[in-house]
Amino acid sequence: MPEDRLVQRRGCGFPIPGGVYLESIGSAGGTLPAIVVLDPPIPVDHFHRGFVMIDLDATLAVHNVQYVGSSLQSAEDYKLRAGMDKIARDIFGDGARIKHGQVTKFHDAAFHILDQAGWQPGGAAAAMQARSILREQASILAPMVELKDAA
Amino acid sequence: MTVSDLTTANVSGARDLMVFRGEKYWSTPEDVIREVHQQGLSVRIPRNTVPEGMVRGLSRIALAHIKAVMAIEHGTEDELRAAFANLHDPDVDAVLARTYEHAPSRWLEMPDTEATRAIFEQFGVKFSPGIFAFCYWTGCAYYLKPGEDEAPRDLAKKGVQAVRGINPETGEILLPVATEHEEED
Repeated sequence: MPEDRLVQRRGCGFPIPGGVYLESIGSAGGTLPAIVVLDPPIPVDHFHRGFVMIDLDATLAVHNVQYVGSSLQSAEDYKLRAGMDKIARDIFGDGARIKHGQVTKFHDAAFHILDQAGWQPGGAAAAMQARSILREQASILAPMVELKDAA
Repeated sequence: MTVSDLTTANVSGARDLMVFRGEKYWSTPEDVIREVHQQGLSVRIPRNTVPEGMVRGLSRIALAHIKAVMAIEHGTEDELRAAFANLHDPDVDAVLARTYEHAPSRWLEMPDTEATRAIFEQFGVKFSPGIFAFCYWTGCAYYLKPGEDEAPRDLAKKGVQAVRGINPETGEILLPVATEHEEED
């Protein structure tokens, strides 16, 4: 039986039907870490397309690698960026992305614009109204946004 | 390290692999880390190259990025940090105050200004490819096309799980339309 799965947009977009994916998907209460960060990173001679089979144990043994582990802060930063990037795309188009170090500033500026306009949250109509207000004031938000080729 | 130096089985007898996450979609390794914390890891591969010898929970996917390793030719990281702090730029200060799991990403995420570029040039900061993290492999997924109820037989025989992807914003099943997702990423 196939599994129905809600899939979020990733850095590279949504999964493509007909595509095959390697996965590392944790589960609530699971025992595997979501990700193990290496410190220091291990140099690789050059970029590789696709995947390459390696002996990771040997690589870790050769290098004096320590494990940093994971932090909730990083996940929270991601959540805020994901939300704000979606707003940026609504205002500036699909290729829009908030510049590094500007996510909180973008959030605060957008909130200020909506507050000044007397906007109140609630329902689909309010969301459309917010989009309209922010589009009218796009010049204030534009310095915090970069436009990338969506293709 | 060169890839040709490496053998292909870990101490558990399971195979590990390495993939690059493209700079086009994840401008820093920290971007990849943030995404994995939120959604797990998913890497598209050509359907005729499903790896063999992988063991769930033992095999690992090493994550590499073209800018994972940082070198400072003149000075130390503490001196670099002090130089940025002396700019007294609120945007720079915000990046200095953030938490990073991949330490070099802090410098990749600095605002791009004349002043910050001058500091990078002064210290001779350079980035190069490297492995910055790994995840444990939990399986392979095949995203069903409309009208399909199971994975193609050749994939099912290799243990590939059939998945019907649903867009949480619209509730609709994902359609095979043009997207930004490319095979190598």
